Amino acid sequence: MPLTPDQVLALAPDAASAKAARGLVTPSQWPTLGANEKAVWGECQGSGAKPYQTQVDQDGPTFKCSCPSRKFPCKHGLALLLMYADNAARFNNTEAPLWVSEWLNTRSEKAQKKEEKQRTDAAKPVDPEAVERSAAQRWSRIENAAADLQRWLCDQIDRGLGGLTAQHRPEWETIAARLVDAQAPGLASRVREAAGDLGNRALPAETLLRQLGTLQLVCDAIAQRAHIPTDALADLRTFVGWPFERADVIAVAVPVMDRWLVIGQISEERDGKLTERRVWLHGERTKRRALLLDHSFGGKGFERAWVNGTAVETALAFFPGAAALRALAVSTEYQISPATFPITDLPSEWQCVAQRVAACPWVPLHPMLCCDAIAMQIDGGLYLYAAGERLPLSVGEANLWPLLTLSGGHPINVMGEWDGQALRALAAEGRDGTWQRNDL
Amino acid sequence: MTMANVWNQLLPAALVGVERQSFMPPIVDGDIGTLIRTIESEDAVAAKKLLRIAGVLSICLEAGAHGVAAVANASTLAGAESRPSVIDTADIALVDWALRDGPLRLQHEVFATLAAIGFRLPYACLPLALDVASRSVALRPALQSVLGERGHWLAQQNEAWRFASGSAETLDVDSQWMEGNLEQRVKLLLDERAINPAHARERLMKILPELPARERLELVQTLATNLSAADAALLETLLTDRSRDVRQLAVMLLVRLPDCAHTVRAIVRIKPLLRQERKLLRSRWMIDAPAAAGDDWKAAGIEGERAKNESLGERGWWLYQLVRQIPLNWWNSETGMDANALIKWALDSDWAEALIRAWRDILMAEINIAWADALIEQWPTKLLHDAPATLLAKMPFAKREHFLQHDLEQRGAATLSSVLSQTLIACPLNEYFSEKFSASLMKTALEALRDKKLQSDYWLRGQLPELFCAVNSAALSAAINMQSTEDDPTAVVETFYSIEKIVRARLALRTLKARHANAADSNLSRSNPT
Repeated sequence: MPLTPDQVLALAPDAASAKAARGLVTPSQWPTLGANEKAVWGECQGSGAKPYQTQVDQDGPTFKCSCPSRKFPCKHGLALLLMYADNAARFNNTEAPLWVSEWLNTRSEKAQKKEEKQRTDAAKPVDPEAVERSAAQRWSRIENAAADLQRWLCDQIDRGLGGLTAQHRPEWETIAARLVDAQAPGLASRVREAAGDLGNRALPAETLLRQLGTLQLVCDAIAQRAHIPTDALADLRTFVGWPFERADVIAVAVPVMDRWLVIGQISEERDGKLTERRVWLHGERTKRRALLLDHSFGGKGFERAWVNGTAVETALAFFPGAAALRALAVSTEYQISPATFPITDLPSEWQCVAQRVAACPWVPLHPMLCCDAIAMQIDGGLYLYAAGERLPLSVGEANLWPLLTLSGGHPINVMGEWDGQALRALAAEGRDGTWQRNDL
Repeated sequence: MTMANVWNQLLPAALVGVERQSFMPPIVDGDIGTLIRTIESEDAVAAKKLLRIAGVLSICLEAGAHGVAAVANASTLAGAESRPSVIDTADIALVDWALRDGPLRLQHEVFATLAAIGFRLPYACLPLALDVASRSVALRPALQSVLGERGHWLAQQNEAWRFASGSAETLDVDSQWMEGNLEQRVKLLLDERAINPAHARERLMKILPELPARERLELVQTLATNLSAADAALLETLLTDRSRDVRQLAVMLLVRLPDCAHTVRAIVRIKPLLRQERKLLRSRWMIDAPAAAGDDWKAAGIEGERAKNESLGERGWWLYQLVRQIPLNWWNSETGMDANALIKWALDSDWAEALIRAWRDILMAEINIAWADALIEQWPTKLLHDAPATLLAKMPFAKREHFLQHDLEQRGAATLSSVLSQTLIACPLNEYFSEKFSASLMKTALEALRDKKLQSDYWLRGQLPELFCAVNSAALSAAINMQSTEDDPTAVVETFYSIEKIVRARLALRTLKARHANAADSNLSRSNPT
């Protein structure tokens, strides 16, 4: 399915790549351009004597380029798709050259091997005692760290939170570092997040107390872990920063086949060069929501791109846990087609949030669809009006104006992440087009 | 107690510390209340109990989250569009590129072309267009007509874009005048001056006292269209306006009315300073500067005090202002000299700078071909800091191109950057060179590109893309297949790329215009089959 220029640019790993790609959208620099239903390819005249061979597997899309760039996708791949989006007729509809067909075949073989490996791994006998012993050791370290954390939390409340300022952050950072050492990076992130808010007078007074109260309950749950149900234990494990391995998920999960609508996505920088991508899906038949969470390091990009406004017929394996949001795409074949925004009502969305929190109190972000909603600025704040309610809306300066342009004060459908305080808009659809968050 | 104020019970102790202040758990009904009471009765330290209660309340609040009850104010909606938008993806991409990376001239052409065919900008380009115009005042009038209802609505949402938040295009003239922004008011007055100058003047007079200086200046400038003796009375009142710029503008408009009372008084002031001296068989004209300021000068818009950075001395400054109020033709009739001789005479006089600057100002306000020719021919670079091209830009196109062609042939390739600089100044934003001169410019530009002049000439790399925006679009086809070579440095490749994009964008705009004209013609022939 051909992408629009906006959808292509949304795949860029950073702003520089997007700008550089725009600069390469010149057919004269591409002596060869070709496409068929499987792939798009072209040769771009770079600074070297030999042109770069750039190819995109449309089933994804997935990129490959012979240029030395470490960025993924590189500017050539993006430029190629931009030109294809601009004028597909410019591409010769011929049989793919050898360098393209070989790559496509290799990809197909790799995918088959990967699937086989997953099956083999799943079938491979494991030493359950060794696994249990290793898990018990890790739980033991986490329990000790949680007990320390719990004492430290009580110390803060004994002394009072009123006197805490940004100067206390180093002490909190030390606590977070100890939690990392104890293999509980999830807890460490929560402590760091709370430390970041120290001295921030713009936040409601109870913010810090709520953050510490939640940590207290996590410490209690860790201490009581032998008595909590399996799903809740899986959620707790994920929360403390002990994620499940992909192979383990695939081994135990029952794949959920559906036509999954890509309703929104966001890429954020985490800890320097690490990029976290969250892709939110909505099952057309099952009405389930799913989160595809991926990380990439050093701008290398992600193996597979998901495009807002499309639907993918595929199977998802959900991670263990009562929240049942995070999932993995497990099919080797994806049928992609255009999709429209799912229509829901706000009370149902709140009901979903309530049920999810009731099942798992540690869900940090909830996907929400607000249909027939009006985005408005009031006294410097941005809000979303829907179904007689007003929600704080966050989009960032660069995204604000394109979103308001789409709306013009008229109702639109907005998809976002609800973090308990505000809705972070990721995508929108109105009668005059679509909008998607672009953090480049 | 409602869930919203449960924190009031816990916060005092949490902030001060439970060592110093005990806490009372909030009283909540139902299961949550039961859970809180259970926690309270546990055998645990106070801090732990408080944290547990805070944790429980936090999670319950998260589970019961919803927005604040409120309804959006429906009066702030963008209206329905009356103009169609560009829909072709390739055209939208070119508009996007022009706004993002194109030269100002191309951005202006995009707005002007869309306005000419009755189109508006696509929604996706509106934030970019408003951003661009917020940085460039010259683009604002052209942008105004292509913003559409959504664009005007969007401009109201951002303080930095308020310049474009005007009235709806569908409103009647009087409502537009009352609610429109500055650009819309200027346009409305200009349109009205073209058909009913008296009505436009009345409209202007009524509103002037309420306006800030910048708006007064812009609106008074509209009097230049169809200026007549009937405008003199209003202009004379503006000679004592609070704003210096408005006073100066009034002077420059009044000098275009040779028979008005103000000009007659100005001539009376200058006459005693101009005298004819006889030496042997020859007689020559002499001019002197005033020795003291006159009592009526202030009312006539003449300033006694010099500006701090003024290069003229006090008497020269006075003379300069007096001369600025005298129509150029008066000098011809009074002295019997033609423009050429007068410029030469002024340059030889002790008051050369005062006279030449004053005449240049008058020419900039209203062009006089003979005088402009003479001044450009003898352009005194030391006295006038700007280039003759600024005056050239006011000349008719044929004259302008004749001068530039001559300049191009004389100085041409050797000082191409300097020649192009003059050429571009002489071509204002909304004008394009003729096909013939454009072909000549393109030939020179393409030679420069082929000769690798760009590699060593930083200025040329900046000027050439702009030149491709100023030439007639019919001449652009010669530049379609230009390409940089493998050994070109990045800066040169980028210039080639910019030129290629400009050429494509301009040709696309031309096609769009032609397509629209054809559609309009076929509609016309359908409605008038004869």
